[in-house]
Formats: sequence, structure tokens, C-alpha cells
Amino acid sequence: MLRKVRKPLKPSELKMRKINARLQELQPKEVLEQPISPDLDYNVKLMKELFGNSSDLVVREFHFGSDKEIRVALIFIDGLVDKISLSEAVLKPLLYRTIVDEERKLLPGNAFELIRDWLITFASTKEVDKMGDLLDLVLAGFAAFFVDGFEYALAPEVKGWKDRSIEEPKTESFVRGPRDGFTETLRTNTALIRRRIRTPRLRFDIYQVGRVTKTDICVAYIDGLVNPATVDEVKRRIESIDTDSILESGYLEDFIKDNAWTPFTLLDRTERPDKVAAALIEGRVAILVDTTPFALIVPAVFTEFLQSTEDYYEWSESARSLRWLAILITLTFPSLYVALTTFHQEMIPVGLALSMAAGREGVPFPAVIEALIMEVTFDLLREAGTRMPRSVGQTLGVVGAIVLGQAAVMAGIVSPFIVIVVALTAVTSFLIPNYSASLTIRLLRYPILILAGMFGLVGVFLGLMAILLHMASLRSFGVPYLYPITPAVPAEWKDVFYRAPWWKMDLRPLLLRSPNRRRQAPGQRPEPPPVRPGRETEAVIEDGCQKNCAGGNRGSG
Amino acid sequence: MGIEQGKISRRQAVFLVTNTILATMVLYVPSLLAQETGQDAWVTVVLAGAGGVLYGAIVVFLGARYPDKNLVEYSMELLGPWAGRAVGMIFGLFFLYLNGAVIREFSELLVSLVMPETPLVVFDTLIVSLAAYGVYLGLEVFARVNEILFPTALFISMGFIALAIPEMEFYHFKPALVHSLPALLRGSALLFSFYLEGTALLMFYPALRRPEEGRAISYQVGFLLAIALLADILGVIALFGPEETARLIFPTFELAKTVHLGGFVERIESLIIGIWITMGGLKVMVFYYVSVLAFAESWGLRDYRLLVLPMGIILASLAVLEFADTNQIRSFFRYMPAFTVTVLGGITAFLYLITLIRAKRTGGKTDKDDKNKKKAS
Amino acid sequence: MFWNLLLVILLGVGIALYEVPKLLNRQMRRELIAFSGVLLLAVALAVALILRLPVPNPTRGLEILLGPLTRLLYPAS
Repeated sequence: MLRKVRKPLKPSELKMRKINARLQELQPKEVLEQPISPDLDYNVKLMKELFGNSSDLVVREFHFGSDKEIRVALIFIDGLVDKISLSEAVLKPLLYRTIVDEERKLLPGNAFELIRDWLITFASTKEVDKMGDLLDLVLAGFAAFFVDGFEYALAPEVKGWKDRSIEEPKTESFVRGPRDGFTETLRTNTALIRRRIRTPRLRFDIYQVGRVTKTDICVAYIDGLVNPATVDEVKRRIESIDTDSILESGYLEDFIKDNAWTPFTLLDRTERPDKVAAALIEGRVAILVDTTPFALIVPAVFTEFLQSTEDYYEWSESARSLRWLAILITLTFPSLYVALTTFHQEMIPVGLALSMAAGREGVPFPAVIEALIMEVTFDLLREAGTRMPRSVGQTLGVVGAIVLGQAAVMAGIVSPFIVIVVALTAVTSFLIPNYSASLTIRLLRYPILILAGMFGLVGVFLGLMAILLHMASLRSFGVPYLYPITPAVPAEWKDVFYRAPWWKMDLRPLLLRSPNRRRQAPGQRPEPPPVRPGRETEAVIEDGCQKNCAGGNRGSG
Repeated sequence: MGIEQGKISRRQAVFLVTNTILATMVLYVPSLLAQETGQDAWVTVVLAGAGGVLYGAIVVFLGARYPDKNLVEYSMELLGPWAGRAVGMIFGLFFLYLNGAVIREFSELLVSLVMPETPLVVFDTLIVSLAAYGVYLGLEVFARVNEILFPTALFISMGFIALAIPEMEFYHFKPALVHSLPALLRGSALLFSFYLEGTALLMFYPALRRPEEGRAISYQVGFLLAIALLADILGVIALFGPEETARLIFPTFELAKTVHLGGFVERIESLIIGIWITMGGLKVMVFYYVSVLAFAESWGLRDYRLLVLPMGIILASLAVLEFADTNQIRSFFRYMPAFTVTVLGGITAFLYLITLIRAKRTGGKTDKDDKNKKKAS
Repeated sequence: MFWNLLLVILLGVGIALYEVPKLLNRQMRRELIAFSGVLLLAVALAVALILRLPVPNPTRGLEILLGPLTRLLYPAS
């Protein structure tokens, strides 16, 4: 303690101070804090100056009132407002009506109040007295409405811009399930969620992040199901961000995840409102970012990345275990090939070893290099495929897979076995539903491959252990990343290695520490009724007329 | 208030201690035991197991007595700072030295069974680097990894032994109890010296989420060890016979070699290598952690992580330095009982006695303290 | 041998570069001293082994120390 008193500032703190002094708002503070002036001309001039005569700023000044003695100005940004509703709800009433009724005549003295209370027929309108606030509203798609002689401005919410319609999510394919996906507009997205969860306890708390972009960030949760500590932590992390721009949820992700240096994604992200809704009901927190269809879900654990939303709609026992197998194959198959052919030929069954040796005859590289060449080639193709225009991409896939592989084998550069191995890992890597997790697993293949080339099986085992250690050290908003597996909660494995039927999953996951753990009434296992419905009274007769009743039973059952 | 902030569950502690004891035991012990006691090896398992449970009671007593302190911390409290520091240093040095031996044993194993052309130093360094990474990440992390890997490893090993049952011949046990008492005692002493390694628990006892479950931990560890050892030793002797087992260096590995599945799946013994690497790696991590923590505590440091990397170089060098050749490793097992009993047994017995004397002298006062502590925890 | 020596020294320097700034920033003097001591010892030991200097084998010492006790168990040898 004493030492701290002697040296109050660590070098890092000093540095931070210097940086903070240099960091400024793009706009000088004095302008933004300025109140709105009663002088209309000054306000309009200031607005124009602030926007530097940018071409999308529309300024319309006009006079109205019985003698056209009231001067007003309407300022908005072209493209961000819905011009039809603007003219219907704001301009028309002002221009066509000179009086409200007999008692209330529009005069310069009372114009503002009358306009606000009687004339502007728009649902949500804000009253502003600071230039900075008005500026923010105009930039968000409000219109600014100045009246000469008043220190206030009205800002009717006439937002309306060209928007993508709700489409099927492109990155998460499925057979069964709702087909609507998020769009780039935050309001549309919150509505998609609200439509699924009809409780007033669903909350959307909004934040603005980014000095320049002022992006709306919405923290969604269900009060009463979520652990309040998690929400507070999410909010704290979002509030502590100080950057100039958030253009996609990926920006946010980097700022708020627990471990900075890890190839693993510590947050789940999705384009699907049903997935977000499910997460909220489990007691998680979702973060929606304006201008992107990708929502973040926290906390996320690794096993979740092997779950597809469809698992919960279409019951398939094997899907989960297949995905675990896929991870194992993607991670180890190339390195096992290298380790076995280079160091442990005696471990391959004799028949297979002979044909493998025949296949490798004439290949000029050691197995590691061979595997690396093919894996890198595959990753190049994959990357090219995602960046290319869709129509070209498919051709490229076929060309790459068949022609390149075939040609490489024919030319004797690689053995046919490595082509099989690479193709198999390519397929299995796509079994992992989460794109980021699949990328991570694919990336981690390389270190293990190199270890296998250097130290054989020992290298593979040590590499896998190192990865496991790393994963065990990760946390997502305080939740251990390998959660239901370790620290082990065997009761929750029914949603990890296979998907138990819904009536078995009575409790919310323990990891979320939800204050309301019970999800549903227990013991809802469906069973056939002891007596066939509609047959209760005839039960006695049935013994007598088995033959006759057989047909009838089938019909009613 | 120790350095370690992480918490581990009872299951994690049980698996960690069992893995620590078992990892090196399954490598050499079946063969060494068969040399001494032949088909009567199971008797030594029972004898050593009984001794292990008794010793476990002392360990648990010490742990439960000071539920928020580790061994070095309370020896400093009991014996005064300087004597306590000396005890802590001896403890740390012991585990450092033993860890060197463990790393050497595993490296030798890998060289002789998997990659004969590779120099030993390579595996030595690999194992130490992995362990350093694990220890750097902390007790919580490697306890978790162990929680997945140890049961898996145990399950697979048991599977191997079960698959070998059709080829076992149980007449190998036939002349039962023919070995002399000294031979049986020698075997038990060897086994018991491995059981003593469980003293490592006292360094992470305060990290237990529920310290009052210590007794259950010692019983579960004893049970798991007895099952695993009996299965291993009985299986190996039934398969090869006592003489052949004594001749083999790694009988468990040879057992795995005989396993076939449906005529197609052969040569799956490499899985055993994988299991041994994982178990060995985790054991090295535990010892590494214990020694580094003991040093950090006895030097009064606020963190143990800063010692991990430099200590790794020492560890890797020690593994090379400790044994001149493989023969010295085998002969080291003769000295092992005396070594562990004097150091580990000595330290725990000493602390146990002093605690008892203190408790008697200050009578009610310590009892009160104890109760307060229990309430607080 | 030259490469091994270089590797060990680079490793030692690397470890120092990794840990020392953290220790300095947290103002841990005692820890810094302990760290430097252990690191120097470690590098010295590794270098001695690489140069094949006559480092005493600790197991020999133990064997001598524990000889009498061990003879209780193994009277034959």
C-alpha cells in the first residue's frame, strides 16, 4: 500500500492521460452545447455550416399563418426520412391551415405551442433545446423544425429509408424452422424478436457507441429470467468502449470478449430471430447492433457451436454425435495421416500400408509438406469461393476440387490418399454449424499438422492437449468455455452429446445462473391414453366383437 | 489468503490426485511388482492400499485443520517463518526433483516405444513446455482438463483389459501366497511410495470448494486406485504369467498389443501411448504446480506464475541430468520408498505431531478457532 | 552444440522479456529478484549441460544418502 502512495501514477496511466487529452470529439464541444437561438436565420446558418453544404441536407424555409408572418424552417436529411409522411403529417397541416379554431389563432407569439400541440399530427415528436441533441436526431432520421422567435425546435420522427426486406438468413442453412432473418434496421430486428416473446419483461436497452458513427446498440434480455449480474456486465463492457466507429457486431465482439488473444469465438452470433428468442428465454443476453443483421448472444460456450437451431425443431439423435466426430476428424485426420505415414508405418494395417506406400511412390515431398500443400490449396479455394461472385464461385469449386486434385495426383505431386483426407476434412469442417467455430477448428489443424510432421503421434497428442488446456482457460462473460463438459455437469449432457426431447429438458442451463431455473412443468412425457379416446363406454363390448371393431378402431385411432 | 485464487470441485480433486498417483505407477510398477512378488502381486495392492488410506487420513486431517491454508503456509505458522520456509523449500525441491524423474521416465518411454531415433531432450522439452503452459494457466484449468481426460483414459484402459480377457489364463495365479513376507513388504513399500505422492493434495487443499469433503476425497482416491491397479496387475499377470511380466519393461503396453477387435481393428496400442502421454502430462503439471507454488509461498512472493517459465528450464535440465542411463531409472525405484517416506512422510508426520501437541497444549482455544473457521468457510 | 547454446540463451532472454515488464509495471521488487535468480540458475544449468561440464548427478547423492534405509528393504544388495 505504502509504495502506491509514493508513486501514484504508473507509466501506463500517464500514457492514458496523454492520449485522452488528444482524443477529442470531431465537432468542437462549444457548438454542440449551444442552446438553440431564437433567431431562425442563425440556426439555419449554423446547421448549414455544420454540414458544410452537404448535398443531402435539405433546408426548406417558409412562412405561414394567416398573414404569412410566422417564419419556420424545416431541415432534414434526404434519404433518411420518409418524404410522404413528412409532407402529409407535417407540411400539409401547416401550409393549408392558418388557424386551429376560433379561439386559437396562429400568431408569432404562440406559434410554437400551437404547432406542437395541434398541427403536427405525427405520432412521436421530440422537443429539443440544444443544438447538439438536435443534430443527433437529424442524423438519425428525424426532421428539425425551427420556428422563428423560439428557443426550441421540434423533431418529428419521420424516419424512413430504403431497407432490405426480411429474407431467409444466408449463413445458417436449415430444412425446418422459421425462414425470417434479421435485416440491417434495428427496429425491424427488435420487432422480429418481440413478435416471438409476448411479455412486457422483454427489455431492449439502447446505447450509442462510436464517436463518429454513433451506432445504436441494443441490449436485449428478459427481466426475471436473466441473471442481472450478466446484464450489468454486458452493459459495463459496452459503456466502456471508446472508439470512433462500430460498423458491424464484429467490432463490438472484439471489444467485449473475455480473452483478447484466442482463435475461438467467445460470443455466439446469428442472423436468426428464433435463435435469439430461444437464447433470451434460456436467460442469456442478446446484443443487436444497428446496420447489421448479425446479433451477438452472450454468454456462449463451446458446445453451443455444435448446436443448430434446427436440432430443436427436427429431432435427430445422431446429428450431435456426428458433429463431435466431425470436429475430431477435421482436427486430426491430416495430422494422423502425416504421423502414421512418416513415423509409424507399422501401425497401419498391412494391406492398407501397402497400397498407401504404392500411392506415395514417386511423390517428391515428405508427407507433411504434401499435406500442407493440399490443405493450403483447399483453404485458398474456399476463401476464393466465398469472395467470388456467386455464379463464378460454384464453377471454381468444381474446378478446384476435381480438376486440381485429379491433376495433382496424376502429376505425381501428391498421393491419392491425401486428396481423400483433405476432401474428407473439407466436408466434415462444414458440419460445424457455427461459421466462426468451423474456421477456428480449420485453423487449428495447421499447428497440429506441423507437430505431427515433427514429432509424430506424440506431437498430435500434445497438440490436442494444449488446445484443450487453452479452451479450458477461456471464459465467456465469466462462464467457463467448456462448460457442461468441464466443470462437469452430467445432468446437462443431454443437450450436448445428443438432444433430449423437450419434455426432458425441464431446467434452464445452470451456467446462466438464471433466477428462474425451471423451464416447464416436470413429467410431461407423452403417453398413449389408457383407454382409446371415444371408446370409454364400449370397452366392455370390445372383447365380444374384436373382429368387427378392428376396422372401426383403425379409423378412429 | 493464498496465492491461488481458483477453486476446484471435489470430483476434480479426486481425479487430479488419482491421476497423479496412477500415471507413473502403471508404467513400471506391474513389471517391478512381478519381479518381487510374482503372482501374489495383488496382496501388495491390498497392503499398500490399506497403508494409503491410513496415510490419507493424516493428510486429510492436516488439510481440514487448516482449510484456508496450504502446507507451506501453515508450516510457516506452526514452525515460525524460517523453519517453515525451510520445510517449504524441501517440499518444493522434492517435487521438482521427482518431477524431473517423471519427465525422464515418460521421455524414455516415448523414445523406446514410439520414436527410437529422436533424441530424448526433444520429448523432455515438449512435455515441459506443455506442462508449463498448463501451470501458467492455473490450477483451475488443468484440473478441468484432467476432469475430462482422466475418466476417458481410465475408461479406455479398462476397455483394453476387458478386451484381453479372452486370452487370459487364470492358472497363472495358482500357487497363491508362496512369496515371502519381506518380498511382499518390498512390493508394498514400492506401491506405498507412489501413494505418498498424493501429499501434493495439501498444496491445493485450500482451493477446494468444500474443504470439509477431504475424507471423501481420500476414500474415493483409494478406491479408484485400488480398482485400476488390481485390474492392471491381475490382467497383465493373467495374460503373460509372472515370469514373463517381470521380464517385460512395459507389460501394460504389451497387453494392449494383444488386443484385436473383430479381426480388422489391430494395433490400437498407440491409443495407450496417447493415454499415457495425457496422464503423464497432467501428472507433470501437478508436480510442477506444487513445486512452483511451494517456492513462491516460502519466498513470500505474491504470484507463482513468474517462476513457471524459468523453472521449466531447470525442470527440463534436471530430467536429463538426473539419470545417467535407463538402468539408473530402474534402480532408482529401489530408493524411491526410502526417499518418499523420509521426505513426504516425514514432513506430514512432523506437521501432524506438532499440530496435535499444539492442540493439546492450548486445549480449548484451538478447538474454538477451528469452529470459527468452519463457520467462516 | 552452438545452436543449442544459442537456443537456450535466446529462450532465457525471451522469458525475461516476457516477464520483466509485467513485474516492473506491477512494482514487484521481491518477485523480480526471485525471478532473476531462478532464471540465471536455470540458464546456467542448461548451459553447463550443453557444454558437458561436470555437473554432479543428484541421484548419485540420493543413492548414497538413502543407502542405509534402502538396505533395510533390500538386504541382498
